[in-house]
Amino acid sequence: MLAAGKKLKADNASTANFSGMYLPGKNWFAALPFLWVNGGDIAVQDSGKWKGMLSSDKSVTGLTQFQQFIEQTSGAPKDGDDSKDYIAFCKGEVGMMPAPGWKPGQIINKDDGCPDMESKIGAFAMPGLTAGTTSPAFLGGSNLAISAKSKHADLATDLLKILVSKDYQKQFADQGTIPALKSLLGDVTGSDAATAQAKAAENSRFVPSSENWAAVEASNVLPDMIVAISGGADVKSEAAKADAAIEATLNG
Amino acid sequence: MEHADGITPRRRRVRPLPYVLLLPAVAALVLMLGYPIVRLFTLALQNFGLKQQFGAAANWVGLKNFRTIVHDPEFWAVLRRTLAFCAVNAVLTIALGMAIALLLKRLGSKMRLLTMLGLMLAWSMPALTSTVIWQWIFDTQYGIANWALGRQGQSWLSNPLTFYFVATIIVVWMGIPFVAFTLYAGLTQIPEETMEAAAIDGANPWQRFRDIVVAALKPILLILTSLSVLWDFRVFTQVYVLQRAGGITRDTNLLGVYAYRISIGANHFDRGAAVAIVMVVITVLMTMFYLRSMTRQEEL
Repeated sequence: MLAAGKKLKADNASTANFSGMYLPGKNWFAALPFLWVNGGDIAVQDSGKWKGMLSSDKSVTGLTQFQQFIEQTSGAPKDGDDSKDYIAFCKGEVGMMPAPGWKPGQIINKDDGCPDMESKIGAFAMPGLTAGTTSPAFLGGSNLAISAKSKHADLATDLLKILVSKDYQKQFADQGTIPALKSLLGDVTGSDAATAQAKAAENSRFVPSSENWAAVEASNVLPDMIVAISGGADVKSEAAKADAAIEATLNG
Repeated sequence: MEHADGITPRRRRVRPLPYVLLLPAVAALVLMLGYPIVRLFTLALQNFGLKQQFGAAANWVGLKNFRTIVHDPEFWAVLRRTLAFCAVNAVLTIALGMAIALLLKRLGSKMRLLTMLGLMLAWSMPALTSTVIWQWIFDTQYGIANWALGRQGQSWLSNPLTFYFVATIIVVWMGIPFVAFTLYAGLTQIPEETMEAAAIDGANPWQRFRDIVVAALKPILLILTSLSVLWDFRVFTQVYVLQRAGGITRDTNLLGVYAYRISIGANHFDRGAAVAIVMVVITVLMTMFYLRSMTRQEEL
């Protein structure tokens, strides 16, 4: 994939800021598959205490690959986020970019997108280290729960059961969105992007499950680290700095 | 107690009406300012995190939160940064505001109107809107600043120094109109004859500016400086938005944003409150300076 990205960049050398793979510095979600596919992780819990894993050898391997991708294929702003990627895409400055399944809809939106691109967009699940496998994708952010003080906890439980039932989730799959049941991923139909997303979702991971994780995101440790790495900073020392900050927050 | 009205000759009779009329204002103040301040102080003395937010009991920990922040080197770095940023911005605002006020004095009426209109627009723009627009101007890839300078891909926000350069432009740009208008109003009150007499006596322009203009405007300048310092000390929107747009958060936090990130971001409401109280204390000290220059002016 690195070779493909480099070739795309070389073939489009005449376009300023062209990205074989569009990787702006603040999009830390894009770095996660590189981390995970190499066996690395953000942090793991060991006998009740969180330990930062970004500076572990496996994680550093993944982050170094990510840095290579940025240096050799990306023309995205090293301090930018992924909020303008569809604009770059419409300007013809992007070959590939990591994105969720709804991204094509944003690209072809009538207001500031480019509807005529519709037929030219393809999608694939991010490949893994060996042929035929995929890299673990970041999947999540939505939670279902019942409030502890709920007056009708029984009814709420019933509703929750309906929400996660096969029949109900099948409707999501039919519309090309990711169902909450892994068993239904094969039933996802629709565009290229929808099926690619479903394929990626079969192998998916999530951020450390800690009540303090929101604080880690709020402190921008991860974007700070990726921006520094994008700027060519030493991966191992930046990762160690981020680990220290993450450990302090998760255990704090 | 003094009765200045002189209408009621009967002394020592407290009439209730004025106090009743004061009530709504006092009630609003207590509600809007009193309650948050009391809450802030109790938070700072408690152990209050995410669990407490969801109803767990908060226990009193005395000054522990203050001890935590004064032992945190990041807090001191942020404080130093905030004071430096505040000083640079206040000085620039006053200096440039003064320059524009002098310019307004010399301009013809049409150009003056046009300049004032421009100042007015800059002034009336909400901080968020203008920050977003300035950020577009300095955008790494599509910004007009890089295009004009021929420096495609120059990232202004990822280096802390250039980050503050952009932030300073925004803050000063928004601060100038008020300073310029106020000083211009002051300038129109300096009698032409004084300036002419000084010129005839052989004072050069710089001497006239220093010994007549600055001397006459000194009370106004003092108040404007105190106000600018106060405003620039608690700057929030500009820094927060620029951090989202591209700055490295760790290296660019100022006190206001720092307190926000600790309390709302990281759910350490207790420690965030402690930082906020340090901010309040510094602000109160500055305000005392401002009030003193106000009262001194009345004595003059």
